[in-house]
Amino acid sequence: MRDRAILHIDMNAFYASVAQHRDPALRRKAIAVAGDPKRRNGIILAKSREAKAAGVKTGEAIWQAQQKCPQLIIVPPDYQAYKRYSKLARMLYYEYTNQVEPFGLDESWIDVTGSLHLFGGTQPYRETHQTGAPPYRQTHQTGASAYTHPLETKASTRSLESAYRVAQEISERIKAELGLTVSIGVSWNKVFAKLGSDTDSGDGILCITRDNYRQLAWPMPAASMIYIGPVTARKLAANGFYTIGDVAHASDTFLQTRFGKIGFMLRSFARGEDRSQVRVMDPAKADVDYVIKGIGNGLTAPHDLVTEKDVEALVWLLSESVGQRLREAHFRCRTVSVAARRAGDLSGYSRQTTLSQPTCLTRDIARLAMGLLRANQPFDRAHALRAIHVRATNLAALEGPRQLDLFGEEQATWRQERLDLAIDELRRRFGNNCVRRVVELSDEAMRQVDIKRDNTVHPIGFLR
Amino acid sequence: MKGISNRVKRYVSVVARMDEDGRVRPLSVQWYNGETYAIDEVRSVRRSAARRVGGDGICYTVRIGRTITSLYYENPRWFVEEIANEGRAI
Repeated sequence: MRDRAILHIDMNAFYASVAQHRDPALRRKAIAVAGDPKRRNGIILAKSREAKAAGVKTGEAIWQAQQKCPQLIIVPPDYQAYKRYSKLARMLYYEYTNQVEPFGLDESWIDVTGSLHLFGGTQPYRETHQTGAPPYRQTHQTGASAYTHPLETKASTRSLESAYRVAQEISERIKAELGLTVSIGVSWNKVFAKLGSDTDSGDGILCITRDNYRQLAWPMPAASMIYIGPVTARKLAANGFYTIGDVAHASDTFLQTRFGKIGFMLRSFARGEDRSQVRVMDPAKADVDYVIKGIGNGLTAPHDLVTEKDVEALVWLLSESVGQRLREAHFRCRTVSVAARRAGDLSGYSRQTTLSQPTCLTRDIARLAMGLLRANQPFDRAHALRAIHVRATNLAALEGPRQLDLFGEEQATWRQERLDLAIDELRRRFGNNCVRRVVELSDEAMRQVDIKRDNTVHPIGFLR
Repeated sequence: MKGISNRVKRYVSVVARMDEDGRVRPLSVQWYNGETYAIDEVRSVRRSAARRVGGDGICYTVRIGRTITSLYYENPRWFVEEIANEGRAI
């Protein structure tokens, strides 16, 4: 079978680059995109290359970053703009293939195997003349000739050469048309393609072929591979596995005892045996509304929540958004879960409860969530909360069949549902804050909060 | 880079014709001092980033008299890259 040609395209310092692209005054300066410190989510979300050089890290507090880099310019995030550029970039990829699988707002895998003869300058299934050195060798010299397995033919490398040309074109077009830079990894599987784009931090293309992956990929630290996070990396290191090459050579026994079947998956990733497809997705659909397993909203409150009233205000606010989104997506939920983070030690817990009948009522979600919190802690200064998360899972279709009961409770629910739907319609037409509950208005600081409007759905993981 | 400091993003009023197939062709640009410049020719249309003033859009390379300049459609507004220190663009 012919090898695939997969590109992983990663937009460099996406949030910060978009800010710099839109305001030339910010270019070549150390900038960071950060939340609002007044609302206590003032952490660094992204930083420009200049800020990175000064040691600013994603996830640290603004004051920590400013200590390292006093001239740092803080920019507020603009999710509408990020979505727009993300979409424009994806539309550009769709000109090369229909297999575009977004991974977050700023990354995508694309499979160009089938369109190489159109864009890559090679003819499929035919011998091509090699004129001069292939382009990728100039930048990524592999050094001494390596052992090549006789079955791994040069044909695969050749198709990646034309994939490299496609990558060059995409990179140039993104720069010219969107004013952003991308780094691209080219390989025959998704894992190495991602590895390639992650390795090159700015505006570069890295080709990992069957001929050079032993020299390029294997010496890299194990943690640079997808699905090896800090915990897995620590476990591996404790057993003497430091590089991707080490993982590729791990024994069955070791993997089985320490990681189970995930271990075998990691080893096959490291050996370049990943066969997962680049998914074909509907370009018209937002990449995030594919399979909905749960709907949830959380918020770090502007101030610590001490009294029951404070907590109730936020729980209702969150449930309102969850309920509205449930109904919008035509779902009912059977399970309601609530997570809380304490203000004192930032520790957290989560609890859930399951209903006999699915519901989509804001009232039900809020009461269940509140009940869970009430059962788990007293509301006083010692147990003040910093953040709450309400989530509805175990979804059932809104239009699904329903069990009626003898006592007319179902009818009451039905009336309540119609009320909620009417309120949804009002909110759709006049804004989310046009109808509000008294319980939510008790807290001055939270009056301005519009959870539903500010909700951004982040995409799904690699394994599904 | 030369050019960055003396260009500013200037939103302008544009008279454009929308064809029945959805194509848009700008016909004239009205400058903020009230003067109207007729566009004699649209030389190219492409998506492009306005590197000098920030932002991006559909870039129309247009000829106005003997001057060739870029007019950007940044949905739903139009802008040009004004030469700041001369007080006039296009």
